[in-house]
Amino acid sequence: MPRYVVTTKAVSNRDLIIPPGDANARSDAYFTLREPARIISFQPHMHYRGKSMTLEAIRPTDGRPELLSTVNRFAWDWQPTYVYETPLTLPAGTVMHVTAYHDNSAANRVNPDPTAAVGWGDRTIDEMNIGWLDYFYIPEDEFAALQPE
Amino acid sequence: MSVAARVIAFVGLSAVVVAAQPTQPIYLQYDGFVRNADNSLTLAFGYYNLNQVDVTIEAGDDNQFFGGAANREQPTVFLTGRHRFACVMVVRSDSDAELRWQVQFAGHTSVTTDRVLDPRYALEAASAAKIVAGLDRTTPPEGVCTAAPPR
Repeated sequence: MPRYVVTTKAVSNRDLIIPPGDANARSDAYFTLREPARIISFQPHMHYRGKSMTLEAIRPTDGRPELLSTVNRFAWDWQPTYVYETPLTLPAGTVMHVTAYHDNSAANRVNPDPTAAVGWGDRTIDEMNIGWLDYFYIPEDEFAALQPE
Repeated sequence: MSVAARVIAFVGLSAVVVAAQPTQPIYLQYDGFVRNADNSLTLAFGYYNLNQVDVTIEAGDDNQFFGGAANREQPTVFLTGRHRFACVMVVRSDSDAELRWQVQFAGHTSVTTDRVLDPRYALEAASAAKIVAGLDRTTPPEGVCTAAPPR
């Protein structure tokens, strides 16, 4: 039995709607960690109209969002996975918040059709707003041991 | 009832009334096309109703197609939320596919793209299978939205 089991989670919101011509269409997605966890990596995934994506952690203790990562010049044809140098340690009940922005304006040079309203779909001409997370849960005692003195 | 209770009741009632007013846009979306074996085309259109309630827009100036017949038995009741493939239509030729669907609602005009046959709008296999599954392939009604669209 392995000590840790890594899960890949797509934090996304399929109710995505991007109006025609909107240069800054925002969508939000959430995922709650059921147990203490360590976050290994973050990968924004969007299509032609992807503009930027951020990842925040909202801890249950104080409810304040903490910015973990931001990719502010997203390129649909270059989607690296950002691996944290040291996995982030977060308590149970932390809400992972992904904020995505899409640019459906004519100013977006790779936009295939700024006249179209765009929603979730598999084709590249459709859109997605996935924040891929790799994480694993850890026991409470291990979480406590990882806290700064 | 105390004054405070009346105020709370009024505010609560107002909130319900405001929530029920359909003031948000309806966005139409061209979902894509399938090239059929006989070289005809199956087109699919959908919509997003951003309101919390269903909206009715009768066929006419506020709900019409451009490019040939204006009334193509398109949806007139727009259910809340997103509805892909709400109108699935078979057309005989590429020139018949030069269609745009437009609705006007809540001061907002939405019209589908004119890039109907852009190869990037070709439906992927799973969606293509959905939209042709409900069609009578022997004598499909041409140029009009079919009934009972698949979801």
